[in-house]
Amino acid sequence: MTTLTIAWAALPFVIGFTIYLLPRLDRGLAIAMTSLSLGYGLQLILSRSPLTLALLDSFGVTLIADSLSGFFIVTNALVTAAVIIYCWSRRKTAFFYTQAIILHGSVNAAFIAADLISLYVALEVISIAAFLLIAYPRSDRAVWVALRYLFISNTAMLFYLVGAILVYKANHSFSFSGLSHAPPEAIALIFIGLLTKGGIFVSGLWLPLTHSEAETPVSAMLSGVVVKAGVFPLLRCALMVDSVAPLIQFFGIATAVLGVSFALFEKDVKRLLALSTVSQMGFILVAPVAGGFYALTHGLVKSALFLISGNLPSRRFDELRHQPISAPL
Amino acid sequence: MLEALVFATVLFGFFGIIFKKNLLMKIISMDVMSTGVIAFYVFVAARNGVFTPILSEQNGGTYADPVPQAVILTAIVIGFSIQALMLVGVMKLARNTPTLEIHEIEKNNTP
Repeated sequence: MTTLTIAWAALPFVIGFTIYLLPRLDRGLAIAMTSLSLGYGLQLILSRSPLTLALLDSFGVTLIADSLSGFFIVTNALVTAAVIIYCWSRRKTAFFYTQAIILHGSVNAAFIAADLISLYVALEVISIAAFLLIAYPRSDRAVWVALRYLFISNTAMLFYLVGAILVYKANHSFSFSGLSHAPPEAIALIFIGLLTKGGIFVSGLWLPLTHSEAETPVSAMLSGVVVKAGVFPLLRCALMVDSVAPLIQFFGIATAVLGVSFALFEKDVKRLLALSTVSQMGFILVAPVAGGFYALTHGLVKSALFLISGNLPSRRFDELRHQPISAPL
Repeated sequence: MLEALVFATVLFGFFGIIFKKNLLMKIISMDVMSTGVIAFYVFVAARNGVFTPILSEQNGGTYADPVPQAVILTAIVIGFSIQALMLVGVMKLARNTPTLEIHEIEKNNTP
């Protein structure tokens, strides 16, 4: 089981670069990788016995694969598979699939990471892969939106790094469980990083523009799984460390209300969906125990909605009201 | 004192990111901020001593802690690759907005 986990975590990166070398096999390899993740995630949900790995040393990489990460991994696998099938006949280059699979792998890595530094690495790889995916059309606007995203996430992650070293200073370990003995400023700094990355509360207001300006398949992936990479560590902290749970639930409730109240005044389909993501992330945080299942449902529905919105004739509500919507079914 | 200076570097970098109007200056500010964070890691690692952590009899156990140093090495590499990526994006933007002023780019590229 240990070998399987490590192989599964490393495989997306190998496959990602293989796709670039063998562009003819791109879609097949990508689908194979997602179905593998789907199988692994389902097995995690069903097995109910958490697997804890400490690689290298007591200071090394700690991984925990339990049923909570199982739900998130299944979400990730299904959303990525949906995006690949959506793009199947749309003439995307192999570069797109490479980035999609690397994004898939790094999000998976974030879902099983149990110490602050492996989480940091996973989140930074996510930012790079997401940057390349958003900038894929290579128009000025896409590059600008992608740059903006990278700026926000890199600055947030720098704060997170300061928080991580403060936790290390207090415990001599980077594991999540050390948060219970950490000074409040360390928790605040780590939360700045994770809340921004997960698009929660006021720090999540960067999210609507990025998610609505990206291409349809990319925004489905961003909204469906990438924001959850920031939410998942918060959930795991809430479950592992009792003292931070009320704080996380407070942020959850505040986000749920804030996202919906912004969404009420929106006149653009994709912005509305993105703001609804902000509020749904709040709902995930409100009940950490049920968060995994809620994240699964939200990921599936939101990515389906984003993919459908890509086929609408217009994005503006007032134009949509006067235009017929073609229904192929 | 040293700690205060390190935090000042981080904050200067952060305010630079927020208040500078030029995209290139923002990227340089981000570099300043990440330098501050790296310096803080080195500072924390040197709490017990500044000797290289190689086991020997001479130094009486006043070694620098190797773990934060190893960790920050990863972060340096990631930070540098992200900056390289950003500069490529900026080069692309500079073709149509050579001044790289933020409000001009936003005016051209936001709906």
